[in-house]
Amino acid sequence: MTFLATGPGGIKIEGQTAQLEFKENSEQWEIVVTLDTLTTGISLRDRHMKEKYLETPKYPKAELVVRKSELRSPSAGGSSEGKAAAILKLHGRQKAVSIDYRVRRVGSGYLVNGTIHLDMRDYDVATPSYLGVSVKPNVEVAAWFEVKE
Amino acid sequence: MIDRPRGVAASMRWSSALVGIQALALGSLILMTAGDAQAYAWMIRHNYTGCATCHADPSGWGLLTAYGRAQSELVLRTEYSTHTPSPEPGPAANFLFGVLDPLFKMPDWLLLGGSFRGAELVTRPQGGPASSRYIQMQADGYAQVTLGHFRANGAIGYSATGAVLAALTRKKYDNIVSRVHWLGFDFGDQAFLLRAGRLNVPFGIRNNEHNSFVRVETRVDLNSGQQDGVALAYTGDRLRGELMGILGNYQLFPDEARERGYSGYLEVAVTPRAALGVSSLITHAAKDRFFNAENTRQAHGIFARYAPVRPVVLLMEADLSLQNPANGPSSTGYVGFLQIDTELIQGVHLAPWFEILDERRDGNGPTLGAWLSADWFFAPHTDLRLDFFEYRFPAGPIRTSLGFLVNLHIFL
Repeated sequence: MTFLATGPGGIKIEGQTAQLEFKENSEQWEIVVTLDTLTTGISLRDRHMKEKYLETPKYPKAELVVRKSELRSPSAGGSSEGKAAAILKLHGRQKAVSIDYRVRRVGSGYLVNGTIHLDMRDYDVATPSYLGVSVKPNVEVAAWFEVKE
Repeated sequence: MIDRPRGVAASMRWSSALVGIQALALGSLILMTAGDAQAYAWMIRHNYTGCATCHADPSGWGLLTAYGRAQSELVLRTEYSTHTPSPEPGPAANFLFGVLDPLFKMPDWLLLGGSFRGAELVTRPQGGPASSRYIQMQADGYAQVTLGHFRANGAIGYSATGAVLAALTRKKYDNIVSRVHWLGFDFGDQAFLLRAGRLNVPFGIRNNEHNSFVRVETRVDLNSGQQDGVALAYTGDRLRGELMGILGNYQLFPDEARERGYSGYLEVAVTPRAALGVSSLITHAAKDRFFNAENTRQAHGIFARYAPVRPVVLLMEADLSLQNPANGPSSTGYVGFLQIDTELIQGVHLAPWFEILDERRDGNGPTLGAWLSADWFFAPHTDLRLDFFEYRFPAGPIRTSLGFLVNLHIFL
């Protein structure tokens, strides 16, 4: 999973983690990210992100819940894509979001990737600011994973 | 080469730039190497596609913002301690390494800085003896005052030799120099900055190596290639650029030697670690310093910065250079630059780079340069740089020349 936040002067903060957990039941998919594993390439920035903004000791996970009925399942060997409604739980808040997704059938499983655009203010995450440079509240999040049946 | 004492350059023709480069390699015109360097285009490895976050100059160079000072501690220099995870930058990031902190807290509206660079240059021409010489490359102070949307920025320093195009005094040596001084107004949530004054000319990669062929041939080096004029800079999420109307270098005399025209670049960040840009410049001088005649010159080119993985950054620039002197034939030459900066561990850089220049005025073919540079940011705001280089000339009495440069850089 990656995220991209931007700020003034062309600043771009790209974070990533490979710690993504997929859960499935008969009605929905649930994607869980352990936020403490996010890294941005600068350790102090990581510490600020986790301690001051995401408050990971208090809110360790982000969860995205998508009802299966929102997704178009691809036929064997095919793929499908579109938009789906979902619920994102982050920082102790939850809010409806729209996902751009693409699912490709591979054997008996799926390759899935999707993106969402979120506004940190919707989740009561304080606007990250450091020495006069503030990050914009809009963040692009992308995830891709394989589901094996 | 760019820096020449007033009145001396007038007798030189541009086609003799090759000889100038040979002279540089020989160290016989040491004044040309005196210079400045504080623009790290390879910071794109940290997703910094723009410069304005860390520098007062929106296209990069010199005076640092508070954020830039912190980054110089966090990502630029070698981190030795593993005991404290993710430490804050500490007072060493501050002006004068923080020694004034107990007495003076820098207000938000004031930026102060400075830069010292001294070097020892050793050269050995083909068949000749090696020679060495100390060069005082830079000793500058910087300041910027910001009042609301208005900014006043200036640099002043001392140059023992060279940088005469930036000199305020009129001596052959030991001049007071001011490389930049400008007034600015920002708008559009600071995405735009309109400036008037003496500015670094926006063109190509703002690379450290002011004597690289691309900077010499296009005459937009950071040492003393600045011009007076008006410029509008834009820095967005993916796009940045600057366009400057050039009114001439008013620290150059006589007036007829001053170049007037425009210069600009536009760069798009394709990804957070890849950017492509184009540059264009056209200027006219009634009496060009190199041709000793009226000349309209143009430079147009492309440049790219790309970090395929964080430790490795490719910097590339390729330009066409057109000369149209009144006293000779027109020419269309080319110049290129490729640098591969590799950060072995944080703060330790190894960078082979290659350059080519063919003015296509004499039919002799291109001059080639190959460099191996190592730069170690070993302490707060301090780096030690070593450069090994070889030039290969297509003609002239000397066909190859080897050199070695070691320089210490401290920025306050």
